[in-house]
Amino acid sequence: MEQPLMTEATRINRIPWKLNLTLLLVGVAWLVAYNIIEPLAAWITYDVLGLAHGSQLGESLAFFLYDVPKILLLLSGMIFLISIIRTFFSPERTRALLGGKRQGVGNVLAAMLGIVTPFCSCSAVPLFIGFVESGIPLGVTFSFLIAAPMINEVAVVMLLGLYGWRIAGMYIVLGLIIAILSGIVIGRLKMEHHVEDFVWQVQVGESGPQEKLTWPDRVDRAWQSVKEIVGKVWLYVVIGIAIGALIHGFVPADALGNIMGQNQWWTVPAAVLLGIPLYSNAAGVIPIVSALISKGAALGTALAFMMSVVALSLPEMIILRRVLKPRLLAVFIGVVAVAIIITGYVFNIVL
Amino acid sequence: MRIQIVGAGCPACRNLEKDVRAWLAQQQVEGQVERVDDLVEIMKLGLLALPGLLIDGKLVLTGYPPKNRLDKTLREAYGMGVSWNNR
Repeated sequence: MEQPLMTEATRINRIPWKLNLTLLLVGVAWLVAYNIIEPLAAWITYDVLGLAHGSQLGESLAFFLYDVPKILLLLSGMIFLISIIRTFFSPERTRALLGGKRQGVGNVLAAMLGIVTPFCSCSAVPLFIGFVESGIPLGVTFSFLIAAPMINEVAVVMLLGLYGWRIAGMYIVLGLIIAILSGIVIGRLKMEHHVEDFVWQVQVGESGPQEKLTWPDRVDRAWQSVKEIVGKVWLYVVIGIAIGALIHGFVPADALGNIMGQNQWWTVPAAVLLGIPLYSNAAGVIPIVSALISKGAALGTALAFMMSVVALSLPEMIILRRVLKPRLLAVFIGVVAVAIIITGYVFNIVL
Repeated sequence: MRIQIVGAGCPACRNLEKDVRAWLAQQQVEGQVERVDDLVEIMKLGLLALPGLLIDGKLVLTGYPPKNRLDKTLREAYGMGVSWNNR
């Protein structure tokens, strides 16, 4: 056994300063890269390739060359940060925090914890059973289940990169409100008997071992999720931005104003309905949505479409059907869809 | 050694199985890898996040682990020393 050779003191001394120095250097490199990509994209497009300023091809290419690295940099940085935060939360801890909370306060807390608790849609069922079994009210559990996928880091980063912090912030706040209100409504409807019967009979075992994480563990874990998520979505980002760039350069401004503008009341519900069967990651949808908006589509309509795509996905419904009877599942979809539609209208009116 | 991957076939669960098999092949040790995907069984284990990893019936990991954590856990289970590149 080699372990005794490594005393606790050497272990602590050996890693953190090196690790923190590396983190600092990476952070500086990130900032430098983030600041040179715009001039670099312009230089390649207009000087190296000699395309004319204001030409359709030039505009499209400059947009593409700037946005792809910008979004990928933002994505890596934000996923790293939120993953670090997430190592301080676990589903077990969230359950403990929610235990004994009443409706109302519980819904607010559940929606906020939905943002920071590590969550993948395949864990929705064990999480649901685990929460309900431990006595957390159904409505509070739903607030968590709605907020967790809707306010995901990819959606927020894409909005931040393409629209700035105001829109991204509004998306987060409205997502929270939808999760809180939908949870309260579902709680009020008293639908406990529409949960599959076996859920109430399951004997939930003692929670597994709670791991103790060191700082290097947290950094390592965050780095792993950056690799995993960016590895999974980068192609969608590139394709999405490419389509967005083409629309940006070639479709005349305000071409969509008549079809998807603010005055068309039916576009919001239509966008939400269209989003339910579509299951895509936010990374692929947002650049297209963004380009549509720049050509006159209303922002609320576009955001409602996006929320519907990420929060009401068919695969997750199929997973949840294992624990929810059809009626409760239908109520869940209905309440969230209505909340998103209202949000879309509010956005269209306010902006 | 009986190694069970607890999960309902989501990508993370499949990746964990792949990682475990790769580790066994790399270390050239024997292990019987199985899947547990029955919901009631999963809940009995008290898991909230999938996937989980059971070794000889004992729950040792929950949630998809980074490679070095998996390596450490499996090394402990097999009674091997701690690897140097793993602190």
